[in-house]
Amino acid sequence: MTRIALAVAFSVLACGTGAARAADDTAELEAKLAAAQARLEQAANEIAELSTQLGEPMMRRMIIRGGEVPPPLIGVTLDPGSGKEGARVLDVSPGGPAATAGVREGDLIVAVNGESMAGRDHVAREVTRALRASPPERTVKLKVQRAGKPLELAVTPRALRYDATAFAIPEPFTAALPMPPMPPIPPDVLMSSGSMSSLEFVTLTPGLGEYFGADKGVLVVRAPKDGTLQLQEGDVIQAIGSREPTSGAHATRILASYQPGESVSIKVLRRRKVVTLNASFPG
Amino acid sequence: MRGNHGLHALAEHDGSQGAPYSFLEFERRSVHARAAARRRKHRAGAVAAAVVVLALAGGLSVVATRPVAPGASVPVAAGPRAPVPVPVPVREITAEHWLAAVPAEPVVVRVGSYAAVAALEDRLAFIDDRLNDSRIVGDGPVDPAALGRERVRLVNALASVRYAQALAANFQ
Repeated sequence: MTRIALAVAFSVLACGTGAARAADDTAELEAKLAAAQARLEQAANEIAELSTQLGEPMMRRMIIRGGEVPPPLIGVTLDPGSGKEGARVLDVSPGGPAATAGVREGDLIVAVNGESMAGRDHVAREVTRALRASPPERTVKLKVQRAGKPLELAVTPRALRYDATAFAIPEPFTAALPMPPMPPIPPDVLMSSGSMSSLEFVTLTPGLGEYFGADKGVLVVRAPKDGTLQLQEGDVIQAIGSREPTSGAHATRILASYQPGESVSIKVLRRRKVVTLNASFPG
Repeated sequence: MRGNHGLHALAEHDGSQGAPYSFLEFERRSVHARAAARRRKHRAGAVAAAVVVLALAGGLSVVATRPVAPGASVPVAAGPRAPVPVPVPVREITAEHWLAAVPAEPVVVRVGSYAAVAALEDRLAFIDDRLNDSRIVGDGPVDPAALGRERVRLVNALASVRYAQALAANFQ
C-alpha cells in the first residue's frame, strides 16, 4: 500500500515538473517569436527607407530642374492617345491619392470638378492640367466611366514632402553646378524611430464611433509612454491643425508632414469631451 | 550494310543479262553523282553558316532589347542621341495586382511602420506623375526609361515591405 502511494506521489510530482517545464518552453518560444516578429518589421522598415533613399539623386534632378514647387501628387498616368470621349487611365500608383480614391486602370475620366472634358482635342492633357491645378488636400471630384457605367470619385492630392530650401536652385545654373550635398527627403526619422513610432491608430468604424461618441475620427489605441503629443489611449483624433484625418493612414501622413520642433493643435474627443491639445513634435 | 547488299546482288547476278547501261553511261552518271554530292555538301555548309549567323543576330537582338534590371547601369551610347519615342513604362504586374488586392491600410496602423510605407507610396505617385507629364506634355526632366526602371524598383520594394508587415502582423 505504501509502495502504491509513493508511486502515485512520484508520478504526480513528475507530471507537475513536466508541465512547468513545458510552460517555460512555451514562454521562451513565444518570446523568441515576438523578437523575430519585431526584427521582421524592422527589416521591412529598413527596406522601405533604403529604397526611398536610393532614388533620391533622381528626385533631386527632377525637382531642381523643374525649378518650381512640385505640383501636388495624384498618382495616375493617362493615355495620350485617348479619344475625345475622355481620358483613359493607363496606370494608377499603388497607395497614391488616385488609388486611395478608387480610380482604376481602364477608367475613362470624363469630367473634373464638374467641368466636362469630353469632346476636347487634347483630352488627356486637359485632364492632367485640371488635376494639377488643385492645391494639396483639396478634394478634386472626378466623373469616370467604368465598364460603361458612370461613377463619381473624390481624389485628394497630397503635397510632396521635401526640403524646399535645399532644392531651390535656379534652372540656368543647374547645368554648371555640381550636385550639392543635401539632406535626405522626406524627413521621416521623426516617425520611423523614437517615441512617435510606437503610436497606433484605428480608423473609426460606426460601431466604435457609437461607443466613443463620435461619427468620425481616428482612435488612438497606443500612445507614446513619454507623453509625446499629449495623446492618450482612447482619444479620438478629430483634427490635427486644420486637417481632419479620415483614416489611420491619413493621420500618419498628416503627422509626418510636420518637422521636428514644430507645434500643432490637436483636437481630440477624450471620454466623450472635446479637448484641444497644444502639442510639440520632438526636436 | 549497303556494301553487303551490293555483294549479294553481284553474287546473284548470273552474267546472262546485259548491263542495264554501258560503261560510258556509268562513268557519266558517276561524275554527275559526285558533282551533285559536292553541291549538296556546299549547300549544307551554306545553310549551317546561315543558321549560325541568324542565331548570333537573334541573340544580339535579345540582349539589346532585354529590360535592364532595376539598379543596373545602362551603357550610354557615344555621340548625339536620336530622338526616342517615349516608351511605355515597365510594369510589375504581379506585384501591382497583389498590392491592389491587399487592404489599403492595416486595421491597426502603427505609425513607425506606416510612415515608411507612406514615403514609398508618395515617391511612386511622384514618379507616375512625371511619367504622365513626359507622355502627355512631351517633355520631362528625366529620361522616361529611367523613370520606368525606378518605378519597377519602388513597386517591388513596396510589395516586399507590405508583405513583410502583413506577415509580422499575422503573428500578433
